[in-house]
Amino acid sequence: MDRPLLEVKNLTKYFSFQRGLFRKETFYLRAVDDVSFSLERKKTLGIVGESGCGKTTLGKTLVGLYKPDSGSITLTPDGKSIDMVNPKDDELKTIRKTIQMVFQDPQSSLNPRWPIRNIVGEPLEILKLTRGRKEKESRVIELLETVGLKPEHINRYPHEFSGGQRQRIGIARALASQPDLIVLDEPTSAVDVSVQAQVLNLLRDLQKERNMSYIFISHDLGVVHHMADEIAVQYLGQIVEYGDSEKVFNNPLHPYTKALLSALPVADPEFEAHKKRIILKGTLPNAINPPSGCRFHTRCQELVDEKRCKSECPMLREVEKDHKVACWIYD
Amino acid sequence: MKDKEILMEVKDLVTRFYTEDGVVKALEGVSFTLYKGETLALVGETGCGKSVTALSILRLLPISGKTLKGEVLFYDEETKARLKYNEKGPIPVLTLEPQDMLKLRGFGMSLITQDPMTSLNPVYTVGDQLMEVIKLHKKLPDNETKKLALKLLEDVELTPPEEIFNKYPHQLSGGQRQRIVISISLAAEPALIFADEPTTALDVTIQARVLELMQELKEEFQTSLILITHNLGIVAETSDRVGVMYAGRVVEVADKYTLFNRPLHPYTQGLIAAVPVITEKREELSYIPGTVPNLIHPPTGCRFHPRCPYATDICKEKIPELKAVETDDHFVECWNIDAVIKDLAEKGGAC
Repeated sequence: MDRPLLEVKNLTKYFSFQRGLFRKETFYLRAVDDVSFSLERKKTLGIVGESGCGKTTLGKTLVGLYKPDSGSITLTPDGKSIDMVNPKDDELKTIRKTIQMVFQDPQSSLNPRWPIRNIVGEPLEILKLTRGRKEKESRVIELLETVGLKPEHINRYPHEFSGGQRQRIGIARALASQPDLIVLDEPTSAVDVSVQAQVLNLLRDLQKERNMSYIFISHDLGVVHHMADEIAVQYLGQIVEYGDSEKVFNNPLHPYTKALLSALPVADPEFEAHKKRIILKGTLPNAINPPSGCRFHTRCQELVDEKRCKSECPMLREVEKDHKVACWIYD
Repeated sequence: MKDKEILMEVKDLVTRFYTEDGVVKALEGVSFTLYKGETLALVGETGCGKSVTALSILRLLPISGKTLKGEVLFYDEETKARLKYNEKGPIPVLTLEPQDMLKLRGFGMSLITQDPMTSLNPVYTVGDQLMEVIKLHKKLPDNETKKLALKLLEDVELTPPEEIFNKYPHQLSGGQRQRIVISISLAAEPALIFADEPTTALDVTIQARVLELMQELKEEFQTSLILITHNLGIVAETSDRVGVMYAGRVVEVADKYTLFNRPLHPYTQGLIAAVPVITEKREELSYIPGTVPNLIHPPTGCRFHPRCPYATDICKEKIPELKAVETDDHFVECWNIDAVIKDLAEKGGAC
């Protein structure tokens, strides 16, 4: 029983594609590169990073939408561990029941030709969680009410809802199988601030009620800070800092995390007036040919040992309790 | 503000869009004043009319849009001289002759758009697009036009400028593209720049530098800035004064410290409380119930009343006016402002 709900070790996902004359050369885009972490029950892990850092690929690999190239994902829903990379046939259903995902854009993740009854009811049907139409319908209504929608919404189509409501439908669908873990990929980036707060509150209440774990993927540090217990900062496919949320936010160790936090505009003018801003040079390098050594060295403001930073890739190491960082400064 | 010299006055702007679904009442009497040298942030959620305000003033609305009422007065003497506008008093922007308007966009005001991918022409080089604007407004000989274009590229930190000059937009990153748009907007040295969500398409670390650069250039070129954004963090970081918009009305105007520390309009209060910030951990976020109204059938009276905790009968009938409250530069439109202030006093002042 002591194993965490989800354990990820050395997870790697490359995308290959051909380029050049006659498409002879093969390139690899290293979207997720040697990522390890674990997630306990009832906890939220926030994954932050800028566009193109591989956050979404990581999320999709975790729910099984992509097959990883190497590494392991171990899920332990109830004492029995499941190898998610090579699951046995009968384990697949358990995985689907245990892990669900809420996608970034509710517009494209809800079938526009289906009424809500079908959208939310589909997982119930596929996983054979209800028997007969009546039971399914009452379950769907129950789910809609859980996320703050009304029973009469059951026959409506996605376009009849506002952005915030659509995201609630996505959440209801994810809740249908009573999962232990939900991967939330930028769940509020498509909605306005006043609605965002409603959705975030709903997610927190549901987590408490149903003892779920979340993996919360976002580029909005303020939102992640609000939601997460632990945080992983991703840069070009790798996790550069990982640890307790308060520790990472109050005492960022990696130069990239420091820059990211200092660049974030905070809705507090006094705080802004006294803040020291670190401006990174250059732009995000291409993930197809990432820089050698530490991938951040091309933009780093505190290169400690230039030769080493350029040639050797630092590993995540624990600098203080529950706080790991991959940087040669702390070697 | 050191010297409060008025640059532009916007009075009671009413703009409608005529669509197949009906008439969208996008702006319903927008009024505000802009002082010389300041950054005024217009903040609000999607569809509140922030961008439409800028487009109405610039007279760049799409064909379906029409400004029915209102007045925009532009007080800059230098712009008047450059436009060779000889009438007395301020420039009446909305009734200006088209050929004068063409000059005003450039000498007087310019626009930085949200998405540099769609505002730059993909089949012309950066240099061509920059020189087009300079030629139009400055009428310099060719070699000097190019010199100025290269200087502008250097001003926005695109180096080496000669190399960037010959590139096409798709060869540049998002941050670089936005810098090109900024350099184009500066080309004729306007008195006022509208920046419509200038960094929404950019990552946080790139955004930080672009915002800083805009501040520096604003000082260097001595322009004023109207910054349109939905991000309260950017407002706190870069603006001097803030106008909060909701459903086609400016509901509160104040300097940024006052606005964040003592917001008085119930909508502003709700908006600020709803944003999670990293400087404090809140258990529960407060939120504004309901959603932004549909502007084809907007609520009667104060457009915020269906979501407002202070709403009374009069709110449903009449739109309140923007009035100075507490200090002479804190404007709020609310019928029940006394109840709001009383509530704040009971809570101990801070919101």
